[in-house]
Amino acid sequence: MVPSDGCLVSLGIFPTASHGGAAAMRPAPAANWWLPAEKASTKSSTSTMAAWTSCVRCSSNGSSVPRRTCKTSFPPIQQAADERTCMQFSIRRPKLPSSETHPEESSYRRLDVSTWLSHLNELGQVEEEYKLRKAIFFGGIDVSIRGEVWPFLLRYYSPKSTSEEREALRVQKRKEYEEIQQKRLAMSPEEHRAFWRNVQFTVDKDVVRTDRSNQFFRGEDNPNVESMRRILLNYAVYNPTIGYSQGMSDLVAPILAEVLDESDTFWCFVGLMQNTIFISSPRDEDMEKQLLYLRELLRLTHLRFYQHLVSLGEDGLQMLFCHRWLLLCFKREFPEAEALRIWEACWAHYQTDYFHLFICVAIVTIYGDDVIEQQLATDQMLLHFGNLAMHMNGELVLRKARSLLYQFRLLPRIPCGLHDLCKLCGTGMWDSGYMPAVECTGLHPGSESCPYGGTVEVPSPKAPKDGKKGPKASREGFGFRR
Amino acid sequence: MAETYDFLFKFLVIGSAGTGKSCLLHQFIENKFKQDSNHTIGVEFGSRVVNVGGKTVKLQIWDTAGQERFRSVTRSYYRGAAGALLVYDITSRETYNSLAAWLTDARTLASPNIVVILCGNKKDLDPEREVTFLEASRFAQENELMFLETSALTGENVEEAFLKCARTILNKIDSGELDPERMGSGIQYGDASLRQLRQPRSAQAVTPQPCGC
Repeated sequence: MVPSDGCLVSLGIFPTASHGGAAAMRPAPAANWWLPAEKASTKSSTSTMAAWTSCVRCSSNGSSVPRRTCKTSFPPIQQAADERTCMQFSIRRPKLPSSETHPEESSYRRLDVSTWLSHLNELGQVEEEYKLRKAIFFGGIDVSIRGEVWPFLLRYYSPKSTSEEREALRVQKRKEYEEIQQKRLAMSPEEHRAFWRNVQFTVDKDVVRTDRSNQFFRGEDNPNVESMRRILLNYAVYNPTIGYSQGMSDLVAPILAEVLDESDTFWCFVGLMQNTIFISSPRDEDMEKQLLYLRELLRLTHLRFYQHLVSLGEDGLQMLFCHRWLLLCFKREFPEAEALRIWEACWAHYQTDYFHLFICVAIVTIYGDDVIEQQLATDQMLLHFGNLAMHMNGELVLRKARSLLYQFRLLPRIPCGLHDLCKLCGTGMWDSGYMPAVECTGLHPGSESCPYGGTVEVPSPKAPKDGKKGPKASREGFGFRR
Repeated sequence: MAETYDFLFKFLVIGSAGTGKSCLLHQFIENKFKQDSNHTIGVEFGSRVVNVGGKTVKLQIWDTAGQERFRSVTRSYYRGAAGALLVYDITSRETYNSLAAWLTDARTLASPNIVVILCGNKKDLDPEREVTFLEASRFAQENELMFLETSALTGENVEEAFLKCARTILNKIDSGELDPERMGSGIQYGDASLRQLRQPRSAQAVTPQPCGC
């Protein structure tokens, strides 16, 4: 048995595609959202991208290989994917041209103690919740006050509450938490057996392998691991329908590490499970809904990628490569500091409850060109994005995602499949007063007309031909024709 | 000679949470134990080219969460698998008890012909054993599975498990019991195969230069 040789070479910098330019950012009133982007007007020679390529032809000194060469050695019909052994992956930090960023991008700094206090009145109430959420969406929260601010974002504390009320709430909630725990400890032997099999068995295995590299959970018999364990077990008692799903430990651990108190963390986690959509849902239909929206969003924003998925059939449209992104809200895709910034941006529920889907699209837009260019198959895509984990630039992805949301909100019309992305989430959605038209793009079984009031008046979207435009068309993004 | 192989087999690693599926995969691919491994969420993936009975076979191994929740994922995951490692933990009867359910999934969702090897993992923890070798061999026999006890920690029998499974599939191809050209067989011809199903790949046919890596 001969294991094949490992092969790692680093590639030189490719000349890269130019991006959808400034013109693509401005919607024209009569624009159709499905038209391909205008040719890029901004050349971005500094921008870089990640790339897989085959090293079949690489030279022994590992010098750079022109992309075209790589392509011939990696034909799209290639059956096997993988290849730790044979593909090379190089990552450079791409940059976003200013035309591709949200216009308010630079208006916010990180929320630090003094700005945080300025959001509170003398009773400790958040003056203007929307402003706070917006500030967090753009600037994030300074590590030193995360433990204080997260409970608001996770809706454990109401922004209207005074400091005094919050203290009273904490006392009351601590009591409730203890009651839940008592309920768990008072199970009959029979109940306990079932609980052990359905919940505890997996929780016990998972807590000892969650965030162990984090100082807070490091070492043998760490009491914080035991806290995490109790929170998860108690949660399964509190909400037996959801119980425990793998991934929950990954979500609760960072909260515990910031909020510190076990009962407070429990209630923050309860809020997280109720108010976020990327939750580790045990239900098929929740995941299906996310994937459905994501596919629609990709069709709208990155047609070539969407078409690639379609060409792969059912397995491609399942988008296996992004399931972990959704389940753990990108926790394993980025180093912790960046991942938590993404969490905060999602938790801010600024203008959408589905910001995590814009993050997905941003990743695909920034790091997915090779998938299309090399026509990667389902398994290859899984490997491509799997290997990007911890090598992507989280700040960049966030900025791109914010800009995608901005553009989404400027669309003259949105397909009815994405209607729910625009549902009001607190104050502020469509706050400019501008409302896009809803356009029916799908079949609604069991319903005569579009349940979202969408109208049909358009020819089917025209797909840009792959390969025809070369790398220039690789980031059509949102397209508007003037 | 990377990227040249006669066959490509899709393999699965299945079994309850915490039985060491990812560690078996990691041990097989990297030849070392994965310390501080975290639980798998979603689907992960590794591959290695091995030489079995004179044939070069690329094993493409799919690894997923022990607590899999999504039918949609499950379908894509199982589809077209030629072989599977069905893993339990010899120190945990609970993981042994759920073997039948995993096996049913594999045979209904992948293929009734899927070649399955039962792996009693964590062999190194013999003092904590809850499932005897004899008992598991009986289960294997009754269900027509191959069987090995493995240790992802020490590496014992890990390679053997994968190779044994691959060898059985090759034998079945030789005997005509498995038809690689049948859709969803989980078997594909590779570059080096005499049967070029697809267009020849001249770029890869040239003598590969050393990669220096």
